[in-house]
Amino acid sequence: MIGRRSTLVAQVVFAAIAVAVVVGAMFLVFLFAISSLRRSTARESQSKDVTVATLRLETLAADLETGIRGYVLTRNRAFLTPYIDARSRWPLAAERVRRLVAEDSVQRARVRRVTLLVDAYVRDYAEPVLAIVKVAPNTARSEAATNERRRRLEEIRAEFGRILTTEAARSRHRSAEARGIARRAELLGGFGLAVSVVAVLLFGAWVARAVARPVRRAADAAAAVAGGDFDVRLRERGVDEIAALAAAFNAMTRALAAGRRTLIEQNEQLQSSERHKSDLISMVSHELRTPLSSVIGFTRLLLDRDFDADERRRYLEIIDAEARRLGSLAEDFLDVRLLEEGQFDLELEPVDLVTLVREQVLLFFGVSNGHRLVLDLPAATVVVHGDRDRLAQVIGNLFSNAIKYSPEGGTVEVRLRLEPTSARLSVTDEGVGIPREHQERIFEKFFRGGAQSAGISGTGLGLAVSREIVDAHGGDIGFRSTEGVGSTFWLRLPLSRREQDRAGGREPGEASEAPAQRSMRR
Amino acid sequence: MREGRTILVVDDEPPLRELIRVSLGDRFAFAEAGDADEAWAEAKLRRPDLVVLDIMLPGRSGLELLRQLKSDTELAHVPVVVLSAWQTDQDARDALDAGADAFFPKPFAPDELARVVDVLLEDAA
Repeated sequence: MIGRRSTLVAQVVFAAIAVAVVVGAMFLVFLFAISSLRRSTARESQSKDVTVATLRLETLAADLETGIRGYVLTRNRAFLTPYIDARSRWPLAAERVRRLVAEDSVQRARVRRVTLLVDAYVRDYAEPVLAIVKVAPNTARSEAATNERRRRLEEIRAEFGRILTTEAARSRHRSAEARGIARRAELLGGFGLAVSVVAVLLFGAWVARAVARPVRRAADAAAAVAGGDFDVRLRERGVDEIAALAAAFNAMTRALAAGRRTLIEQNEQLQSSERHKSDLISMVSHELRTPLSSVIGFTRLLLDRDFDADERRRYLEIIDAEARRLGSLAEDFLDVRLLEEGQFDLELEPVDLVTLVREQVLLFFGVSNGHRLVLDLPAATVVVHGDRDRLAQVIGNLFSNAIKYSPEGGTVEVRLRLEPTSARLSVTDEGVGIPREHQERIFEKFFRGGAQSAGISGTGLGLAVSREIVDAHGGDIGFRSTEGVGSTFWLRLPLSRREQDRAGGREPGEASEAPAQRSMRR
Repeated sequence: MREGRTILVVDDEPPLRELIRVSLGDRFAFAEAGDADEAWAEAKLRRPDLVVLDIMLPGRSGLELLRQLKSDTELAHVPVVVLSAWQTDQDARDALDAGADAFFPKPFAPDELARVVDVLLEDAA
């Protein structure tokens, strides 16, 4: 397919050569017609020459006769002058006629015959008469009037007449032939011109078809592209250059369409991200404004109105709680911002989870007297490589949730288990649980499920931040919950390598014992 | 000021419900609700003289409740004061379009709220 395709340049050259051949052939035919016309014209004029020369020869022959007869009758030598003159000019004139009819066998024979007749007349009659005219004029005179002489003259005259008649016929024939050839030349010229014109027109039409039409299609398509239609395609057919143009054009429109798709997608992503950001800002503003309303409102009331000591104390406690809530909101927002900007720097060090859990238990369950705590921790240390404060934040968040979401109290079980390559902490409460329809969303930022209506305070950021922190440690966080029964939140953190060696049953090394002893002393 | 009037306070934040209650003072009896469904039940039961309504409620929004109240023959005449922590002009317009009699952005001034509530109650009387 590709091999059979020729280039546009080659096709144009071939077509031009074809046109040149046609036009050249037409000109050759025309030239041939013109040269044959010229030849026939030349032959026509040759007939005239033959006629003129023959007439001159006939005149000479007549002069011979006139000279002889005049001299014989008058015996005056002056009358012999035409004869002498004619005799001297005869050979040249005869030779001229012979040459003129050299190619005409019939005329040649006749000329030969007439010259033989004239020669015979001169030899057999004229010269003997001239010889005897001085001695026997009467004999000569009678001889001049003989039938023999007359017969010869008649014969010569008749032969001349035949030559002239034949030449006249020849002339007529050649003239007609020349006219025919001239007409044919005219026809051929006209035909050649017509064929050349047609060939040139066909060539022009072909060039238009092969070049101009595809170019116009490409121009139309380019205009469409300029108008924003990137789905326009050209047929990749025809001569190489046009097919290549179409292929390149189609590649361009495909690239443009793909580029535009990418841009649209990116723009949509940007818009979605902008919307998300704007939603987040609105959310932050709203979340801040709610506790702020309590703080400002109660402060205003305390400043403007009189309350008794109990009331005053209660309102100040509300102000205190809501102000603290504002503070923790500010912390959480900062965390969220850091998370979103990917600037979540962990200060990694060996951290004993047993110690960390104990600290957080003291912090949260020391103040909660409504919950029974079951603490199930390994006797030895469980060391992970992590950021102590961040891990404390995660554990504290799980404890805080367990307490907040079991407002009726109940048991909270905290278990820390050592697995082959990880440590698993679980916190189980007997609280309100999480409705099934909320379970997919509880790690979303600001998602609080039904907590707000249940009067449980919070920002909806704790679990979102916790998951980011656990992810950053290479761990997992998850939960299992039944509405009305309670929830178990768990997190799994990879053990440090030394701890893994120990968990894998290896001989405990000196180095791995050291932190355990330290933490136990703590 | 006529005594014995009931005001329905609808807000999902208990401290804010208390703030509204204290701001309006003990001249009124109060009914409270934390979401729209609870508020609708309270409104039908207690026939409040005025409703103070937060827009951001869990579940159905305060605006929906507002439209429901205003299309109810028994409750349409009850003045509604809308509170919103969403503070754009659009929120205020939406609330007033839905039939709110007054609109306060959070945080609000307690005395201002009390004054507007008094005016609305007098107009309604």
